[in-house]
Amino acid sequence: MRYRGPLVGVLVGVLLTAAYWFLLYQPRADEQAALQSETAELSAQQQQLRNDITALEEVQANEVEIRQALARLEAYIPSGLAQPSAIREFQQSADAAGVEITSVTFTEPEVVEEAPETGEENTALVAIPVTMVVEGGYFQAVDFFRRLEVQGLRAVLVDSVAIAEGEDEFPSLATTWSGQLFAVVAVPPEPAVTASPAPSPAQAGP
Amino acid sequence: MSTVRVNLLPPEVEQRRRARRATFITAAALGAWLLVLALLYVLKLGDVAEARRERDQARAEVTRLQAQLDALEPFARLARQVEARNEVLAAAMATEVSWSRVLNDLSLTFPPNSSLLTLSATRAADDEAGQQTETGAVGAEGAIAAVEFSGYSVERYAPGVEVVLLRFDEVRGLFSSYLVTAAKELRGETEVTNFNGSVQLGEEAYTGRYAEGLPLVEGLQ
Repeated sequence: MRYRGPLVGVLVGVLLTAAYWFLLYQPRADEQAALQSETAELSAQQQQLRNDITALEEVQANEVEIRQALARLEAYIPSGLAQPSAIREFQQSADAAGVEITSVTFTEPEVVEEAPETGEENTALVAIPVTMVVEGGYFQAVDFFRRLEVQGLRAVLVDSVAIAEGEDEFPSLATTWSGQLFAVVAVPPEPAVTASPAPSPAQAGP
Repeated sequence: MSTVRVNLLPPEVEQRRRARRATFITAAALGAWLLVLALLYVLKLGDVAEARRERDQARAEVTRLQAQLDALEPFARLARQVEARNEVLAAAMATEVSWSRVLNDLSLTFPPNSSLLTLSATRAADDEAGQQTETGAVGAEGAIAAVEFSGYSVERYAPGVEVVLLRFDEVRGLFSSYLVTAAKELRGETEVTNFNGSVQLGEEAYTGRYAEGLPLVEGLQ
């Protein structure tokens, strides 16, 4: 009976400590951990935002050059079929190289499957198949291809080349090439997929 | 002179006194312990308040940075446009072959005692994924285009036609030349050896010019 008081005291102390721990201290500790975790996430977010801002400020500082680059990109692959400018470029290249364009044939543009996104909504990359025959000497034809490849503004992908004796006989050659031009054109938006409505009881069969 | 203290009170009184003392000490210890716990709790509340203040500051900073980023949105759109166009250009022109270089190299390598009459080169078709397939010719692994040719040499089969085949393989990108037929022929008043065959064009003929889109915008985010 002599130690009843201290024993009861210790027991009460243990009980109070447990209650304190679970009801007061631990919730606050959890709250602190959650706040610190949230702060850490926000700090990471801040760093990401700062990186993005730095990159965009760089874009802003180089806006003129970047818009020029975009203009060049849009010249390589224009928005719209832009056949007139392509024909002008072919003619200029042929004149500069010293060959004569005998014929040029465009067939229907085709959407390039698996092409990357164009960056503009409801547009797609299309290939415009083209076949051309030019008459001229061998080195003139070579120069014509060089101009198409490196001097032209429009991107031209030459798929096949055939060289044979021309109508004016050697050294005049008929060079036939076929390839593709590219363009970004508007395409109809994909129809939204809607679930077919469930038949009403009146429509349902017997 | 020593004194002897004699407690004449009943022993129960002393026991009660000791019990009261123990109870008092226990209560004091318990109270002190509760004070310690309260102090710890107050400290913890301070830590929580500090953590909340830091969180609020970080949140405010994020809001400020987000507003700054939003103000730069037109430039983000510009960067996305350039990036997308670069990717489109790179994809479209991935299989570009420099035919001018191939034809020029061929002219520089071709033997002067021979002449080509026809030359036809066709790039192998792209597969469903847009990747170019090979020509499929025997001994032409890695070929991206088949080149068919015909011509003549004023020399005989050897060294005339032999050198033509050897020279084809010396042209950068061309390999695996293959003679189909060769025959004597009278061309004007000159006896020549005509020939026709094929040669393969390898992957090194790709220009790779557009691999990163336009060189000027390389390194954009």
